[in-house]
Amino acid sequence: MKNIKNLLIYEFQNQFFSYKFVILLILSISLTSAYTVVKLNTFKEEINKYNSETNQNLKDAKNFRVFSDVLLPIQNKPNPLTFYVNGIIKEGSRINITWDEMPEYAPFEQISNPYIKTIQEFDITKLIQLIISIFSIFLVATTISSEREEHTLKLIFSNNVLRTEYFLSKFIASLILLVIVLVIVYGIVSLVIVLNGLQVFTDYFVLKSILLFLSSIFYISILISISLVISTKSHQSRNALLAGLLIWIFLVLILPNMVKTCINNLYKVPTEEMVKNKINDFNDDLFEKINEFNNKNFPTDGNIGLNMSEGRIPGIFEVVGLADKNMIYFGEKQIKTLLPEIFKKQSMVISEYQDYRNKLASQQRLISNILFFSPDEIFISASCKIAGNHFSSDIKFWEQVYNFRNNYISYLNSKNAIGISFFTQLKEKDIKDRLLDYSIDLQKKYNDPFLYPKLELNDLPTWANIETFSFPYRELTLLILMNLILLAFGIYFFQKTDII
Amino acid sequence: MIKEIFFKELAILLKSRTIFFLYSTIIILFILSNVLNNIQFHREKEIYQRMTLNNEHQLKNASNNLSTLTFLNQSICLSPSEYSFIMKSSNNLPNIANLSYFNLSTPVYQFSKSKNNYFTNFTTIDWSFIIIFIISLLAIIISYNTFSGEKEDGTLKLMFVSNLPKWKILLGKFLGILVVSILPVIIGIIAGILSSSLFRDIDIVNTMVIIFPFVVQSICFISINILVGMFCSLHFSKSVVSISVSVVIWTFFLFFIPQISILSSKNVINCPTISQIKEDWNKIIQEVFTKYSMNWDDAWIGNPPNDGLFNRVKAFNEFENFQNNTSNNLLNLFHEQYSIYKNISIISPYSVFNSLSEKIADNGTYRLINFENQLKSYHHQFKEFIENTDNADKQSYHVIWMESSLCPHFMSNKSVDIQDIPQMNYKSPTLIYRMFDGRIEIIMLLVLSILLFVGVFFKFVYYDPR
Repeated sequence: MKNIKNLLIYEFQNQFFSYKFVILLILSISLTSAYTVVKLNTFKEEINKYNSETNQNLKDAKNFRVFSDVLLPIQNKPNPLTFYVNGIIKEGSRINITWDEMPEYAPFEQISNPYIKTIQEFDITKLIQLIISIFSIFLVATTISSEREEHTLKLIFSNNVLRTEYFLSKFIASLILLVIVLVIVYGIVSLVIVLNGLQVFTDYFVLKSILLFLSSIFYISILISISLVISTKSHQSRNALLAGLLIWIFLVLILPNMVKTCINNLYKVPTEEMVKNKINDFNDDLFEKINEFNNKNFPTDGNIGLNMSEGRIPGIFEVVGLADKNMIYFGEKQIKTLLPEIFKKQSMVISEYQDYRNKLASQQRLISNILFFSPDEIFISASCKIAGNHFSSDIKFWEQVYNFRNNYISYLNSKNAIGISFFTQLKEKDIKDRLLDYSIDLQKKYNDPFLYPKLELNDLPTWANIETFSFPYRELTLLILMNLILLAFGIYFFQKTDII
Repeated sequence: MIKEIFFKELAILLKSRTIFFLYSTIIILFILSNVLNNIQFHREKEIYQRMTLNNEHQLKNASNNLSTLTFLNQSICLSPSEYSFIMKSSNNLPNIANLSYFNLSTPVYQFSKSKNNYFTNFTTIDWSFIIIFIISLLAIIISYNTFSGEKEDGTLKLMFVSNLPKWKILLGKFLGILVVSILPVIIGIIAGILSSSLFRDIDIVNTMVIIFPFVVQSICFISINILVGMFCSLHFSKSVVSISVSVVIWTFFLFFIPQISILSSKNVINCPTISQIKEDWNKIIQEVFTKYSMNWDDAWIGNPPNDGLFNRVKAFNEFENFQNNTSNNLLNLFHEQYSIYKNISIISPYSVFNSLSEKIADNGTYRLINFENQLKSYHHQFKEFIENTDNADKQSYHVIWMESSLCPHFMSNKSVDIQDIPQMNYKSPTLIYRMFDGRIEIIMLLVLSILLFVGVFFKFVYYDPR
């Protein structure tokens, strides 16, 4: 291995000054800088929104007057790693945990231009996948075959040069070249992030971006070794280019899209309508049960209203208590027996939603299992896992949200809040008074919930932003294994092929 | 002699193994895209029919009373395009709009939850995807060494020695390559139509009429790609250089220009954010409350409306105006962004092809914009209808404003005949009209192909075969 240094320097110089490399540099620099400018604007807006809403939440938390008012917000921190990967698109940034609202993103929070969605959202991984990958094949696929064409290969091997060291020098030189491009691309983006002070929003930002950078190097090096293998096999460099292009089309364009369209249409996932129908069945069930219960135990006290409007899990009308208008349906006993029943049903509905979400994820999991050999898919899922945008981290997030809701309910239980005091601060005796007396003074006194003194709730459960990062063990091992296999394969092939 | 060159070119290309492999994958892709698009079409149509039935039912219920009709929120669904296999609309394109007497919402994508959010990087495969991404590259791959390759082999000299006019050589070669790259498209289209005729009844005559312009434009588009490859092979003596330059051009026009045009259009025109709109909304609420006394005690039900009521009506109208204005402004800004994106990306024949096939299939953003225009005219019609029937009723006070609890006391409450109520159904414009809309794209494609052909011709006339 004496000559490897000279070979490397020669190879590096040869490729560094080629026009393809210059074009690649210009294209990637201009695209990344244009992209970061646009992304920075939208990201700053996200941060403004996040700050103002968290301030509002702090203010709101001191203004609860009844327990049914208690609202625990979950605010998603803006993630600067979305500069690198968009990942799965979240439908909003805020989830309200209340006693009768579905724990879901509030709809229509973001406005984006629907007409320019036609081409997919762009990010740094897209740049690497579509543009840098094709150029890396272009740079590398001709290196060995062109030397064979020009008969310089003969000259080199007549000088006591080992074949492995020749192959390795080619590999390392082209890898260094492409790493330079990647360093520039990642450097621009991370500089913009750090200079604007946005890295504060994720922990270990630098480590994570270095991991992202490493995974993209592994991805690119797979492409390099594939094109080196092609280059050793083909006697004409134009054939090598052709074969490289065909493989690129197949790997990047045809294979993933074909598998995804097939699975999207053939592997059926329940639609949200089906889930909603199930929830309606739950509602009807609950309604019947409560009516039965009412007729049995409190035959004289009247009816019950069930809240069935959209975005709500089954709960009693808020008019049950006195926080609202002029109706009183329930007494202390009824609420104490009915509310736990309702909470039980609610948890069933929520678990239905969780099932639905898991099924959706199973579709994507099937795809990533089928495409385990596609470096494209592995690279994307690895970078999504690092950035915390992966579907598995989303499911983890939702589990955490549901746990948080359970905490909320157990908090209510611990405060002995479930009873008539859940809806009002009046005593049962006052309510009975009010039922009999409809004088305006009394109505004014009791109806205005803003006259109640504020609750002092200092130990409300708070949402801790969970770590969505998960180390991509599987993806990284797959990438490294593919690299090693391809490299060994290439060296073995190169030993066997003719020099001429 | 053209014939002989043409057939020789055909024979050489069709013999190679890679071409055979590509042909079979392309044809399989065509069939697959048609089968999958049919499944998708059936699903979307089912949803559409359910939505429209629901809407009709609501209208029928509301026709008992004019006031409930004015406060009815119709959700109007856009029907899926019959020819979605030519050009599929992209994911999450809006297809539902809410409409009432008072306002018309901007269309939104309603089935977002029925689509899997966890899918990353997903483009559906359709005919225009196959032609734009795969056939165009195939054309470049076939044509990059027409001259440089023969120059390297030395056969070009032989051809120049024979007494042939040069344009005949060029035309023969060009036609041979064109036929080779068009052949899988035509076979694939026929196979695709046959496979989709298994799933649903297809009006063969109508589909042929639609497909004919599509085939013509794809011939034009593919010939542009071939001419780019030929130009590169004429300009560079080495075939390696010629293929890499032509693929650089391919990536530049396919990926770079659309992305840059999207980014620049978003940068040139800034849309207001939700928080800005909310701030404005809060301001308007405060202004209106200070301006008008909103005390309800001043107005009473059933009697001729007094000043207190009119104050209330004015305040509500101001809210309504604000809502309508903001949504209109936002929509206009979106349209401006879109037009900037279109104007920049018209340089690239790939985007031109995309937008033209959108117009041929009447799908995608073209369909959405048509839908919006029809919605606007329908909204106007609906408003007029309600005002006219209200004016015809002598018992009403003809005061209509956006407060569902009070307004019915001051307007007509008579029942309406269902057949008199105007109803909205999306009417797709005729093919000739659609082609007229796509005139700029057609001219662009034609001019580009003619210019490139002339360029290649002159390059070839002064070509040195040595």
